[in-house]
Amino acid sequence: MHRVAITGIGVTSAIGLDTTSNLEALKSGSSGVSEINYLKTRLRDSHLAAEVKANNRELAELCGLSYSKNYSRTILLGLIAAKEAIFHAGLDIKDLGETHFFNGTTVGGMDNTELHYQQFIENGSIDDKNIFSYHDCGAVTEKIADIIGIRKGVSTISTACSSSANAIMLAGRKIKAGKANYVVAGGTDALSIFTLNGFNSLQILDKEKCKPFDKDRKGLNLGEGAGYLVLENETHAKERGAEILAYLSGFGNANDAFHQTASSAEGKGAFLAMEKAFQKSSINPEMVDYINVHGTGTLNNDLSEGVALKKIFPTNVPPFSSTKPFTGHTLGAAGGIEAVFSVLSILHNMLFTNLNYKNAIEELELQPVIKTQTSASINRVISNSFGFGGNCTSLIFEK
Amino acid sequence: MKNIYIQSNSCISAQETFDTQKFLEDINQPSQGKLSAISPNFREIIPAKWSRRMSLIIKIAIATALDCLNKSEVKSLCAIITGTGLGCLEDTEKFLASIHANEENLLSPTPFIQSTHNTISGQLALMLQSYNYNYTYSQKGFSFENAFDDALIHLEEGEDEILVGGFDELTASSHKIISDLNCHPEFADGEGASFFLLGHQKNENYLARVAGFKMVYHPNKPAEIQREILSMIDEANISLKEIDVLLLGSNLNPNTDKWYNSVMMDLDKASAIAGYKHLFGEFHTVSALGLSLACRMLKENKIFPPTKVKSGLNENLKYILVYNHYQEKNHSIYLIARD
Repeated sequence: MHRVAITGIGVTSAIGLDTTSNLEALKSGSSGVSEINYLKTRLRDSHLAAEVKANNRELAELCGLSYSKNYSRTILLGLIAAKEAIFHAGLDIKDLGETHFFNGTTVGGMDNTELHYQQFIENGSIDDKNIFSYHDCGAVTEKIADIIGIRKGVSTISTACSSSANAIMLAGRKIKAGKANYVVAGGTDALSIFTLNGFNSLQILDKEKCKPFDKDRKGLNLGEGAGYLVLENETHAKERGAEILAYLSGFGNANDAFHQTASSAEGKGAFLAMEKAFQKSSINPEMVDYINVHGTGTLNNDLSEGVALKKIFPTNVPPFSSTKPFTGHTLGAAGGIEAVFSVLSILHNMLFTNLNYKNAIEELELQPVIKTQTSASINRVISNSFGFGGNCTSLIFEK
Repeated sequence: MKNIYIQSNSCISAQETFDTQKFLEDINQPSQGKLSAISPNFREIIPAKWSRRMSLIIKIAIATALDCLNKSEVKSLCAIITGTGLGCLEDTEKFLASIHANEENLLSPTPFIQSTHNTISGQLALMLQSYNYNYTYSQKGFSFENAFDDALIHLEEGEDEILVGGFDELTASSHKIISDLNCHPEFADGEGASFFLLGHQKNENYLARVAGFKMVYHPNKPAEIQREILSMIDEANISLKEIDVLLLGSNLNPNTDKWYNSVMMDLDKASAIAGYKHLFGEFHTVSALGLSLACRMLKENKIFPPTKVKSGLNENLKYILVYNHYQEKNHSIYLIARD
C-alpha cells in the first residue's frame, strides 16, 4: 500500500485568485461574501453571495484563453486553480501524459446554458450551438484536461456538495491501489442562476452573512471557485525530488439515508464518514488538531454535524471552524477548496476563524475558533463535506 | 485475487429487455431519429409513495435497480455506484422553465432537488436504508465505466455485493440539441437504464464472470485499442480464437468505423460479431445496455438474431468481448465469461 503525498495545491475563490491571496485573506479575516456584482440575477438586490472578484473576460485572460470562445465560468475557474496546483507540483508535459484528472462539479456548464435556454425554447435554436456542448459536467472536465494536457484519464464526480471531496478520495484510493501515478483532484463550480434559485426555493439562504455554528444562524451564502490538489505515490514524489506538502492519510464516504436534502438529527452519515476516515488512516480522533467543518450555516447542517462531532470526539471536540463565511458555500468545489485550506493549515500551523460567530448552539455548547491563530501546532486536519442525497465525505490530512 | 461475478442485471431500453422472458422480441424501429425507452408497469416495482413525483429517468433507474436486487441473493450491499452522462434532464428543464416563468420568484424546490445527478443514488440509499459508499459519476461515454471501475476497485479491496448502474434520458430538447450539434448522425438517439449486482459469489443464477475490463481515454490510433485487447486476452489466459462473440457499440455496419473495423480484423474467423446501437440508440451510458446484452447472450447461450452482424462457428458461448467507443474519445473494453 502506497502512502498518498500531496505535492501541489491550487485555489481560486471569493477571497483570492490564487493560494497566496486566499491565505492572506484567511489570516486577516477578510470575507469574500458581498453584494452580487457579476451574476445577472433578479435576486441580486435581496441576496449576498461570494463571487470570485473577476468577470469572465478577466478570468479568460488569466488562463491565456480567447474570451470570444465563451467558455463556461466553471471551466475558467477550474483552469486557474488546476494550473496553479500543477505548477507548484512541478509537473511537466511528459508527466501530464501520465496524469489523471478527477473533477467534482455540480454546475458544469449550466452557467452558460441557463443564459440561452429560453431563447432555445422560443426559437428552437440559439446563435452559438457550441454553448450546449459544454453543458454536461464531463464536458467541462474534459475541456480543462485537454487545455492543460492531461491525457491519462478523466473522471467527474457529481454528488452535490461532496463532489470534489469525493474526487480527492477517489485519487487516494487509486494511488494506494497502484492504479495511478499523478492525480490532479478537486473541483470547480461557478455561481449560477439555477443554483441560486434552487437554494432559495429550499429557503436555506441567509440574506445576511452566514453564521455557521451560531445559535442565530439562518442559512448559507452561495459562493463559487475551484480548488485542486496534486496527489501522488510518496515513493514516487521523493524519487523525483518533489516537495511533499502533506499527506492524505484517511478518507471515508457514507450515506445518511435520511432525506434528499436534510441531514438526520443524529448526523449518522457525518459520523460514519468520519469514522471510516479514521479507520482508513492510522489516526485516532484524539490526534486531530483542527476540523474544517462543512458548517454551511443552515439550521439543519450545523446541528446535525455538531451532534456527529460530539459523538466521534466524545471527550473533547478539537478546534474547529467553517471557512464558508470567507468563501461562501462553493457547492461542488467546496471539498477541493477546503482541502487546500486544510493543507495550508498544516503548512502554516494556522487555525482559521469561524467568522460571524457570537453564541453557541444551545443543544451543542460548541464554540468554534473565533480568532485566527498562527502559532498552533497543526499536524492532523479533518475536512468534512456533506451533500444532497445524504452524501457524506471526510478527508484526513497529515503533516 | 478472488473472482468477480455479475450476479444479476436488469435493464430498460427501447426494446423489450426488462422482461427477460421476451428479451428482444418484436423489435422497435427508430421513430424520427429517436429510440425511446419502453416503460414497464412501474407500480409493480416501485412503491407508490416513492414514484409519485418521479420523472422518467428516476423511474427507469430505480425500477432496474430494485429489479436487479430482487433477482439476486444480496445479503448486505456494500456500495451503490452510478453513472449518468446528462443526468435528470426533465427536471433540469422544468426548473429552468420555472425560473423564467416566475421571474426567479417563489419557485417549487422539487424539480431542483430531482435535477441533481446523484438524486437517484441518494433515493436508492433512502429506499434501501444503505449507509454505505455512494458515488455518482458523470463523464460522458465513461459515466457507466467510471462506476464499474470503482466497483472493481472495491471488490479488489475485499468488499462484496456492489450495485452499479448507468442511465440517461432523452427529452425533446436534448434530441434537438444532439442533432444540431451533429453528435452522432449515424445513430438514433436513445435512452435507458441498466443496473448490475457485482460480487465474489458464483450464485446459482449468476450471469457472467468479469474476466477483463479497461477504459482507454483519447487514444491516437486503433492500434492502441488492439494492443489493449490482446493484453487483456493474454492476462485472461486465453487466445483470440476463444472469443466466441465480439459485441460492438456500432450499428449493423461496423466497417464504416475505423476503430471497430480494426478490432474486427484481428479476430478469429470462428468469432461471431454482433451490434446493439441499432436497437438501443446512442447515448452516454448505452454501453451498460451492451454489457446487459452480453450477459443475456451468455446466460441463454445464444446470439439474438436482431443483434447479429456475422455468424460464428462456436456453438457454445463462453467468452464475449464487448467493445464500445463514444465519439472516439471514450473507449471501453469488457471481457466476460461463462464457466
